[in-house]
Amino acid sequence: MSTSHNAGVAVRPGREVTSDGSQPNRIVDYQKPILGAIQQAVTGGWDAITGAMEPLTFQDNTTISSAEVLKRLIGCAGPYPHAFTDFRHDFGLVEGLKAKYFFLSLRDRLFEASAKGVPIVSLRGLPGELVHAGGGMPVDIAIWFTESWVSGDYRFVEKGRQLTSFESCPGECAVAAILEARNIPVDLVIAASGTVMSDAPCAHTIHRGGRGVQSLFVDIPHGLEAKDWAVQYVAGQFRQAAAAVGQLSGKIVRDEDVWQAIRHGNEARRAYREFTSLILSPAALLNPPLASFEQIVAVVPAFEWLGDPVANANLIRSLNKEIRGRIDAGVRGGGVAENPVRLFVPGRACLAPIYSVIDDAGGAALGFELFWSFFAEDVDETGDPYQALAEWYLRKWPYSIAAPFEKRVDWLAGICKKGQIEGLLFLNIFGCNWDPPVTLSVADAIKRRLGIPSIFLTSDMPEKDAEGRFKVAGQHRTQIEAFVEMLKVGRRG
Amino acid sequence: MATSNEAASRRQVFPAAGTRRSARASIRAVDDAYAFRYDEIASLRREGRKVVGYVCNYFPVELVHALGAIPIRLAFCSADAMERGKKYVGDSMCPFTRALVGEVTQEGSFTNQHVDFLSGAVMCQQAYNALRVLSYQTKKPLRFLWLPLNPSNDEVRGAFPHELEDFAAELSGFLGRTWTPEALKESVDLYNGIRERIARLYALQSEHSQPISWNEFNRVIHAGPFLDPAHYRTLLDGVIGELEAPASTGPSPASVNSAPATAPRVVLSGSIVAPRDTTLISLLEEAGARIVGDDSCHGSRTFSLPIKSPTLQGIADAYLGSPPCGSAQNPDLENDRRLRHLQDLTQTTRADGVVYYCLRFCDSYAFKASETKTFLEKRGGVPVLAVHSEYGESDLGQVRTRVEAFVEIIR
Repeated sequence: MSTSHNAGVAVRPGREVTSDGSQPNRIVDYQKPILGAIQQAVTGGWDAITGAMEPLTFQDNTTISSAEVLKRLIGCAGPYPHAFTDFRHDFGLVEGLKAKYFFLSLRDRLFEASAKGVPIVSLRGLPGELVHAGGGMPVDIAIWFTESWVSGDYRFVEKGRQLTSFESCPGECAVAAILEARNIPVDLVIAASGTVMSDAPCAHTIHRGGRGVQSLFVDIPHGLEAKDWAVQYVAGQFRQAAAAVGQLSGKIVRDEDVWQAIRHGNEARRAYREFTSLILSPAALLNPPLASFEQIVAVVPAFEWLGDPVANANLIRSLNKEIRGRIDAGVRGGGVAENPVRLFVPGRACLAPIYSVIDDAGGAALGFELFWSFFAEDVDETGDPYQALAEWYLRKWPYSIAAPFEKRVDWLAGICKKGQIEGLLFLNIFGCNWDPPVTLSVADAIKRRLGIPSIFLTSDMPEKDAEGRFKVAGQHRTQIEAFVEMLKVGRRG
Repeated sequence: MATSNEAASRRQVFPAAGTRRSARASIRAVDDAYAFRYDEIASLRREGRKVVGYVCNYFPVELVHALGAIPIRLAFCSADAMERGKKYVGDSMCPFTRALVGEVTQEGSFTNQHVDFLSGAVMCQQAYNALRVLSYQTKKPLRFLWLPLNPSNDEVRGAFPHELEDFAAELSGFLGRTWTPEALKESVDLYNGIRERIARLYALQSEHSQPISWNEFNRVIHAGPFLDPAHYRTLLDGVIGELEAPASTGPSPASVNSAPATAPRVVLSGSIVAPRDTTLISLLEEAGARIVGDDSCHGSRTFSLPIKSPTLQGIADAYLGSPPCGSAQNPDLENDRRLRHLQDLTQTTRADGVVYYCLRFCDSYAFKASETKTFLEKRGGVPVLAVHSEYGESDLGQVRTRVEAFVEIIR
């Protein structure tokens, strides 16, 4: 008999956050119940939480204690008033709380780094190692559109659509708006320029007309992964990109700097692979240790390590320990149903409010292709470091949506088999053309190969009710419920 | 005997079907050649010739032709095909790529039946994804030709010839034929000849006192990537000859459906204007404007690349040097060749305004609409109207109102 660690608690979103990220230095009433909820969630209360949570150590060897993490997250005048929103939260997962802190603290860490003279690089679709090696700090600005979801402040998206197009993906237009507002202290833009993501560089060039943000594009010859000259071509551009960061930081980038960044990245990738092994272990499949929302919070940093691969690896290793404990004890994640329908999310993975609906309907999103594929393979640690990165990028397809179609389907099918996946949930974003156009064909290929059905949801920004609470559009809730119900019926049949 | 789907397909891609026959014999000859080309291609395939269906204007047709295959450009704009395409790619793709997918996946359509190999020197993610979906759904082999998206990067000059070489070798393997330097020179000369004639036609259309309507002009231009190139070159001679003939030789055929020479002069820019995509052009001409040039990838940009040397390096240099697509990035606004090309075009054609066509969800051009407008208005004083639209008539009234107001302003 398994037990749920806690029922999961949904709380009010913060209305006080502002679009420029400034903090309303006053008590946030809605946060008061959270502390009580957490204390109830964990036997032993506050002390048990801080005792269970390991401190977080960053790349520069600074450390933040578990008590400080909690204080910043839920302190009455804390800096992150929208840390906990209407979504379900598994307050018993203490390392999950730390993951939320890691996510929410990025902007502050960027400003702190910038104040110390560290170049901040808006990096899009490229390995973070290039920036770390050059002494900079990478940030994928598009992640702020996720913050828009969490904070409930959509002004960036609206402004971005004025700058780009009313039919733009919310991520790309947020990039344009944030660069315009200088909401993040970006010194350099480095973006992949390739047919898999041609709208991203377009969004980054919106401001080339004199706003002072230098841009550099790395041309990616997609579809030519087998060609040695293509690897050399990309490696040469990677070298230029790292040197451009080094110019800003005043650092001559040595190969050893790149190797160190690669080693840090590989450590994080290994920690993440351990994470996926745990999630896909037979015992975890019976009693998933994480709810769907906690899953996405854990893996989102994988792209650029939220500015710090060392902290990211430390965080995931701690999380793995906690997950292992849950698996050994047969404890399900907060809010996860007994014997849930196992779902996997291929392609894009967003729309945070939906994840609680999945759990409510009796399903569980076990993983996300976009992130899982990113850490599926290490960068080879031999030879020339830029070439090693280029080979990883072109031949191991960390961005699986860029992989050759059959290779991608092979990879997905492997995950589906291992995870005994019962259904695929494609969460497409309005205006996104990176992957959604291909997803119908991917779903068709998986259906033909494994008989696994798929469902497609396309959404723009989450809706809110009259009181400002997040809600999932009615049709999406109905679709998910019907899909999970259909799969349950299939089990009986 | 054509199947019903094939017949429907021919109507979609045949520009003259359903439209008024041209008053000019030379243009009627182009239309007739287009209509006959379907049977000609089917016949050639029965004889063993392969057909390479491609997208985008940076595809080196010379190579395919030199290998003895038939290159045909895949470009469709029927609202029906666009709706059918949604079944495979959803509804956030641009109308052009949706129509492309809808057309080629239609069982029994001409392209579905007769294209052996899919390819394209694609620039944007939508065309890239459309080809991937087409290859999966139709089981036709696909080989992208990579073209650098960042032409300002010096390294591309070294990398692109490698890609052309690999591409030519792989295509040779598929076709079972090899190209020779002589065959390549013959192909390059042939297509260069076509480009010279097209350039002459554009100049005539801009300067002629009695220009033909732009939709009729486009019928001639759009026919090229479907017709046999040698035949097309001859047909272009006929069109040029007729347009250059003194107007006094008879009643002016141009007066049938063209704008007067004194009308406000407009350059058409932005997203692709595919064959039979006539709505915006008709609205402009009905509002009293005269189109004097375009930078469309199915228009003048297809022909803005004279190849100086009949070698792979020569081909690479020409395609890299041609005016770039909106998907290509240049971090330096001042040296953006797309904008420079458009600015030059407005000056050489003495344009009074630019109509910037944004197909829905065409991020590559929509994202740059505002910047293009600012660039041209500040530097050339040329007003710009950005029009967002898609295939079909759902927004006809709105677009008409905006076009009429714009033409009134620049008159």
